[in-house]
Amino acid sequence: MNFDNIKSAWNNDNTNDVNIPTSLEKLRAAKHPLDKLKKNMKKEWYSHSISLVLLAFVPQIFNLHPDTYSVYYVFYGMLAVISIYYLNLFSKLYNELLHFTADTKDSLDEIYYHFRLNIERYHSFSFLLLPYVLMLVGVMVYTHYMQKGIDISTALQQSKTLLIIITLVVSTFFIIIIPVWTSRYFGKYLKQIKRIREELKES
Amino acid sequence: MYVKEKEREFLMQLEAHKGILHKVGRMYMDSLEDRADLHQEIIIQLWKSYDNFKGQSAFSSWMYRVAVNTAISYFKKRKQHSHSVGLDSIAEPANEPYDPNPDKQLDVFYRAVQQLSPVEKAIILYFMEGLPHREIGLQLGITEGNARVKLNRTKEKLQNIIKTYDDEF
Repeated sequence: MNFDNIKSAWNNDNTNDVNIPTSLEKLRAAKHPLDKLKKNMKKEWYSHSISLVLLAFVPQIFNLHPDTYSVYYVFYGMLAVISIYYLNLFSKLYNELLHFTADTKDSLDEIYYHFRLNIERYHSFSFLLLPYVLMLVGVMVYTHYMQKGIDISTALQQSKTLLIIITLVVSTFFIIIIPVWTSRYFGKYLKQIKRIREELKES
Repeated sequence: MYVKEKEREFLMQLEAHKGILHKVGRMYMDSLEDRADLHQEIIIQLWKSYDNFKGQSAFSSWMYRVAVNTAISYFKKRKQHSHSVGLDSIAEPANEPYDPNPDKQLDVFYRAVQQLSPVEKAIILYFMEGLPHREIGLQLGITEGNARVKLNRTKEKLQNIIKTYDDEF
């Protein structure tokens, strides 16, 4: 096959399949994975903000024992400060992303590393939730026994095994499920991008 | 007012260079529906990046870069097959008699291209546009030597694919 022979046909090929819109308003929303990631970030910003407001009222909603309020709000405060820091940092980062104008290798590198960073963000968030969830279980158990009039030291003796099991189950769930979930959600796309990056490196 | 003016200027540039959308679409997507979808996505990404086009390079070079980068990293679940089209799915080119018509040859070329990887498609695309090895390397972010090696391999691969069609030019 002589490629030069088809170059004129290549240049003069019918372009009727291309429909340039008369106005950009007629275009649909972007569907590129990176744009979806940005949209998800925006949605998450709102859902996390609402969740943080609701979590502030957990002691009242669940009628936790007043003795546990200070412990709860120390953990809640840590969760809130770190969540706001992460959310704002990443929202800013993704809004500043200027993809596709660089050369192909740089463009793919940028996409790849931002997806990797986003996966780590999910992991950090999830592991950040772990001590909060364990604390919540603890104060709920404490409240339960206090309402029954059982002394906490006696209660701890009675439910030591149960508390250990709950801690292990919750911790294992976070440590195993979260990476599996991020791998399932982003893994396929990342593998495709990684394969193309590796192909570019080969000579 | 300024945004509308900028939009009009952008759409005029697109109209003048719609051949790029057509070529990238045909290289990367094998169905009309997927192609139309990719055209839209490229236009969106071009518009989002338009503020960064400083005019230091030709509009066409910039447009090719954004279009190829979008096509290469835009994996739609439905179109996974387009990067690995099996011979069975190709429309019986083996039964086609030799046809010196360049348009027919181009159709066979595009069919064969569907079996290339996304990077190989980009290399052939730039080659068909007449870019020298150095420019191909710059667009892809690889060295000139790497671009030369990859182009030679890709041309050979494409030749071999077309040979399987029993439709040698």
